[in-house]
Amino acid sequence: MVQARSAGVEVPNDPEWAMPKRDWLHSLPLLPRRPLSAALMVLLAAGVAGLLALWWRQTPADRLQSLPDYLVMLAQITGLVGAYLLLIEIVLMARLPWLEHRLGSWLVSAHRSLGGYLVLLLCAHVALVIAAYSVSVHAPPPTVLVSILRTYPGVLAATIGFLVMLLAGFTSARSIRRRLGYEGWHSIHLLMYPAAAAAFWHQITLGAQFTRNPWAAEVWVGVHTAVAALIITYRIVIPALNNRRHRFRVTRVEDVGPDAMSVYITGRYVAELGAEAGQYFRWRFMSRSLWYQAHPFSLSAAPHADTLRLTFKCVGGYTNRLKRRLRPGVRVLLDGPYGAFTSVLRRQHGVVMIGGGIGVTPLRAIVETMHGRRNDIVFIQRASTVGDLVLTRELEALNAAGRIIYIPAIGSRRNDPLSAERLLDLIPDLEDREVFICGSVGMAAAAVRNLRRAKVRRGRIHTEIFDF
Amino acid sequence: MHIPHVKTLLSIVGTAGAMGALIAAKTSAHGLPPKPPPATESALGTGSSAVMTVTGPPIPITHGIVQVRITMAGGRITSVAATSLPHDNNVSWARSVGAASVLAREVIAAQSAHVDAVSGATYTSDAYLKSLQAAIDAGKG
Repeated sequence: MVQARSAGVEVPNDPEWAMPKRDWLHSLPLLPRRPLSAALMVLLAAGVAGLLALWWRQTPADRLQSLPDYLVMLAQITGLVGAYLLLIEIVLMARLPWLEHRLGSWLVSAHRSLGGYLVLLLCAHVALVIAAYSVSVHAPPPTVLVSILRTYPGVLAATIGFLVMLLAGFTSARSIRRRLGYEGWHSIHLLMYPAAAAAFWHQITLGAQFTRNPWAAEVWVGVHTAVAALIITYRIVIPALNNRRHRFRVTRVEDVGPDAMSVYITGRYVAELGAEAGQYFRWRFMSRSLWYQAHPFSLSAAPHADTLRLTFKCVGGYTNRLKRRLRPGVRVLLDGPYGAFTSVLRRQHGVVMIGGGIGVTPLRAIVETMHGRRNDIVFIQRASTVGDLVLTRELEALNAAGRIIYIPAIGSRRNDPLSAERLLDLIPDLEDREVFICGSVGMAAAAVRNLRRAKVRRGRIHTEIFDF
Repeated sequence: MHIPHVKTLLSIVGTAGAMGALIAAKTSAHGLPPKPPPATESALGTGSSAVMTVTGPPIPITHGIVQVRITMAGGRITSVAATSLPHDNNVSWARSVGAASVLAREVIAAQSAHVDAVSGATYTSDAYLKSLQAAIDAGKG
């Protein structure tokens, strides 16, 4: 077995470190994050416009005569757009490497906000279909529902798919998701793949736009096939091939704070993965009671001599089992790297890192790859109590080595140690710094609010949220 | 957290507005006639032995449009054919084709539009018989 080398605390004696090359300050990627995400939104809107145009063309002139006609037409529109958005939702989570690297958490937040909208849209579709037929045949909705389910092929499967989607939407509400935990929430979300497939059939057999226009039907089937191929490639085949090549194993487990542990994982040809500090992987530990789940964890140190490191805090059933079961030698299946939260985002010499709780882990990895003078990197570790501080020993070592200025900030949100005034007190040149924030939703939102109040420009604030 | 609710509300209102506008545009784009157009006829020959083809008005129902054409010879209905049947999807198409053939047979036997609707295709049948009645009226008038 390969002996693990510590991936962190010892700072490499890099002469370039104190005098950074300036090129990273100017090397903007061809398409920066915001224009790229805006371009994707335009593409999405173009798809919706295309479907509406299809509806317009396929709807005969005299189709709209009475109330049920209007309801059926509205049902067709909501159904078309809903089916399209469902496909987009799946594409957003297809783990396309280029998009993941460029947009990272934007994909997740787009998926989430689009998801809520999609649930509403498909609820409207179902309600409109039932209402249309009820009005048209003068029968109560339950009778209509039963007769539709019994006579129209594919609608029963689609209805089951719809119910699964309602469940996935419901369990994604923040309070329920938290109570359910990552595992339960994620398992329900995985059911969306069969649910989407079940809903597909009725679109082709009953959707008026496709039954009357074979060309449109073929494009529709083609697009869905392409997306299925993407999912199989990037969510199954490529991770499987990667794991066969890299053969990761746990090589060391280390306590790094109350209930927090660092896990060192070593494999072959790790450099090929192109992982960067600040990114995350989905890790599957092949041990009893752990193997059936993959969980996302950020790298807590820059990749180092074929060794990757993650640090977790025992907060739930899964992480507690991790603590009990992880031993050197356990095989690990990795999926990644993911995320756009890396030092590439830095455009200023001055940097402020604000990490909440276990959210310091990617920041800890990023500072390892950042060059600068002593005052360039201010590292604020935000926690409610001293017991919540993790990786303190390493951060203090980086501080002693002159790499960062380490500031633990303890306090409740009511008496915020990171209020705008206190931030400006601590860092008078805050305005000229690039800010990296990582933590829970609430912590990140509070930090952004305070920074905005302290007149930091929006484009200089980068957040990564630890919230599945 | 008030802002997400505002966004949700805005997106619902926006979507409803956009769909309403689309439907309204569709309705006005075609300037719908409030009443179905009258039956049209064409005749071969004259007198009681004339062979006449009459097309009934299109009757829109929820799943599509129903229109019937009849051929009359000497005041008798010799054949009935549907020129348009609901075809929004294969199910309504199959069902209305079945109903149309049953109705055609019954109408020729009864020589009138007063036949029973085919069960399972009540609305298609009603529209069929309505278009047929208009065609018969036009043919006899």
